[in-house]
Amino acid sequence: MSQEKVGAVMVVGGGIAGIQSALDLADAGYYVYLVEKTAGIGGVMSQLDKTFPTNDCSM
Amino acid sequence: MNIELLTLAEVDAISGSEGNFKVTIKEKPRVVDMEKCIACNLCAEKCPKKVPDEYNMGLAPRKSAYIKYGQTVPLKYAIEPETCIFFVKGGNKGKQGGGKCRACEKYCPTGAIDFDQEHKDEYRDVNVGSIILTPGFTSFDPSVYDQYQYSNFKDVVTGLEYERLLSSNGPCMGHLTRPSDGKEPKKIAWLQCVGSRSMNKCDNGYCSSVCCMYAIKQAIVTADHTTGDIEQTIFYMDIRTHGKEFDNYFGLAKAVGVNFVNSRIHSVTPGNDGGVEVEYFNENTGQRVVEDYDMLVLSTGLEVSKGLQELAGKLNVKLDKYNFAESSSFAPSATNIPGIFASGCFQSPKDIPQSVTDASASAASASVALSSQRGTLAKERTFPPEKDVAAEEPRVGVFVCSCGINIAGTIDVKELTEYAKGLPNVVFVDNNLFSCSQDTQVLIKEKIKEHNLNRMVVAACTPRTHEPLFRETMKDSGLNEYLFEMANIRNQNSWVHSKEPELALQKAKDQVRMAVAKASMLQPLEHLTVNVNQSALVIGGGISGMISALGLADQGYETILLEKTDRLGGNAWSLSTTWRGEEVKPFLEDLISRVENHPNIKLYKNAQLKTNMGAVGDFVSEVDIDGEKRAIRYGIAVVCTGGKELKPDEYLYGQDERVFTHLEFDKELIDHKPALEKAKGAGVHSVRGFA
Repeated sequence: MSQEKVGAVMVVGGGIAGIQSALDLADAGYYVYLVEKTAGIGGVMSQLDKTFPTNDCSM
Repeated sequence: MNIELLTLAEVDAISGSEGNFKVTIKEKPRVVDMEKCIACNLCAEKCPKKVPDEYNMGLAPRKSAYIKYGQTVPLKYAIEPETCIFFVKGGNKGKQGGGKCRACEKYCPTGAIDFDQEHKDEYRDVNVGSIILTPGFTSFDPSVYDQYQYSNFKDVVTGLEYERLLSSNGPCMGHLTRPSDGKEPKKIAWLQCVGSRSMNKCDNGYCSSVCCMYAIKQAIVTADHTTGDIEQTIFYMDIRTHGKEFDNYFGLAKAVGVNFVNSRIHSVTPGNDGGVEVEYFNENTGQRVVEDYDMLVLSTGLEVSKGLQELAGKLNVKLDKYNFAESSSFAPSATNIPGIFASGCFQSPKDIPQSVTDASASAASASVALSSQRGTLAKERTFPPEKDVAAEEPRVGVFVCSCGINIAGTIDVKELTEYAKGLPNVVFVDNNLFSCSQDTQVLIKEKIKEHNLNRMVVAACTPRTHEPLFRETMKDSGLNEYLFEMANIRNQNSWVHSKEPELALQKAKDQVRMAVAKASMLQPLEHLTVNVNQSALVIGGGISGMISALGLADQGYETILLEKTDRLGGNAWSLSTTWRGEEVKPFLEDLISRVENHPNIKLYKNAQLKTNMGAVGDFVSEVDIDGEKRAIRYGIAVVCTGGKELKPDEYLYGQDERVFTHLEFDKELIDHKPALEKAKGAGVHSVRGFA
């Protein structure tokens, strides 16, 4: 059975990888469902003080 | 706007196949009505129930009514039924057994909390063409290592806990103190490979790939979060600094006095003056060393979260022996199920830049199969009509960012804020902890409206990363986005003048004054619409170039691929197998055949780019193809020109036929040249170098 393709993508997990995938896909013209199990996105990266090797602010 | 956030949500069931999956999502109740919540914090302030805050790794409490962190998205509070007094004591099950408290409901100014209404898990079905799994990782729990005393000593913390202790929005507000007694630590040790490269207590026989770098980072930045002299020592097995600029960073750590000791700490006991006493053997002298430290940071590795096996089971996605997604070296984002991709640390432990690259690769892979449906479900963003402010006097609003302690740690932002109030045309000034956060955007929009602002200045960081965000806020407020100016008081000031706060403040005043003066003179600009050349150029026909070209061509874009030699494949021709034993040649031959036969790829061999003019969307280049000059036009370019192996003039290379570079040696393995026979029994020594 062939079904019609759907122009939407689901991303499971709202950390930095999930956010980047979701943004790329939305920018490219797809509708994205970003599924996050906690109350907000950001994941572990939001908990970091700075990032290596540039000491950039993680937030 | 084309991203729908489903929070407190998880995948419950799935059916269908690539191109058309049906996924059932279970959403847990937030209890707070997201439409009504204005994130005023009153519910959390009045909530009497304290619970450990996961965001701060349990090092500080939060309330049952909470947001994850100040800049969280969506910026809407939630109530946790598992801990909320009202729900724990029976909820709204009848008058006799019903829960009490309801403090948040009583104080909520917008009526966003309604305990009379039933709050239960909601299920909804959505249809999607592809699925990307990015569930991330969990920091390893080191309690299983009795000898490191993580469960018993407060001053023994994990890497992620230490990160929270350093953080300006963490429990110490950016000024590091020791968990046991609140004293500022002066001597800190890190122990590497806790929960990585170890089969003894945790079965994690892999390198977590980020801990060396995060420990080095933490050691370097610790000095910024403490006063006076500080001593940092990293106990390591191997230091792995394989990423771009990583080895220089390691060098920087050594230069600023971070000690690196090649030894594993054997045991940890209580210190003489709080803190810990660690015991290890000096590998150079063989002597036993006992040393006191104020804190011990266990550089804990990355593990797949426990619940992921269940998720993978529902999706039939295969996992490897460490529970990461199973994938091949040649298609790392693909899982065993077509249409389902894995990215980030679920694919394998990795750092932020690699996760971002990986995520973009997955997004591209996910869209290949759906390219015929591009744009069918996406909506376009609309903004309120633009106000004509040309005839108005400038009314400038200035927002001064503290950037946590990045700016406020050096520059007196309060005084800067007061100073800005006195500048010509300025009618409103505010200071924000993070001017870029979502809650501040809401605040900025309110202030633009309230004070009828028609120009805006943000004194914060670099326009390179943050200008688009503030321009969007301008557009949302009905203002032309170009009536905006940024003063970079972080990168160009607090970061470089951290030792001279007085002068930094003077400079910040100058920067803000200049930005305000410029903003006052800004005039609205209109965007022109130009046609974009929807074709791509890929330079270099190695594996990376061919994969890029196929990714673009498979999505329907005309792609020009330039290869400077007469053969596609590049360095990969010299490789026999990957370290996992996957044959490179069949993969390479298949890739070449797909590139050469793709209707959307124009392949030019013996071709070199000579010139390049234009801008994104419309480039033109002169290309030399087989000695003939030709002009090509394209909208974007991907540079995949690869790397070249270093050919040394040492180690008898080029003088003795038994000395090879590694690529030459791999080629020998493919070709089985007699030289290998000669080397039999002679031993193989490796000297590495890649330019």
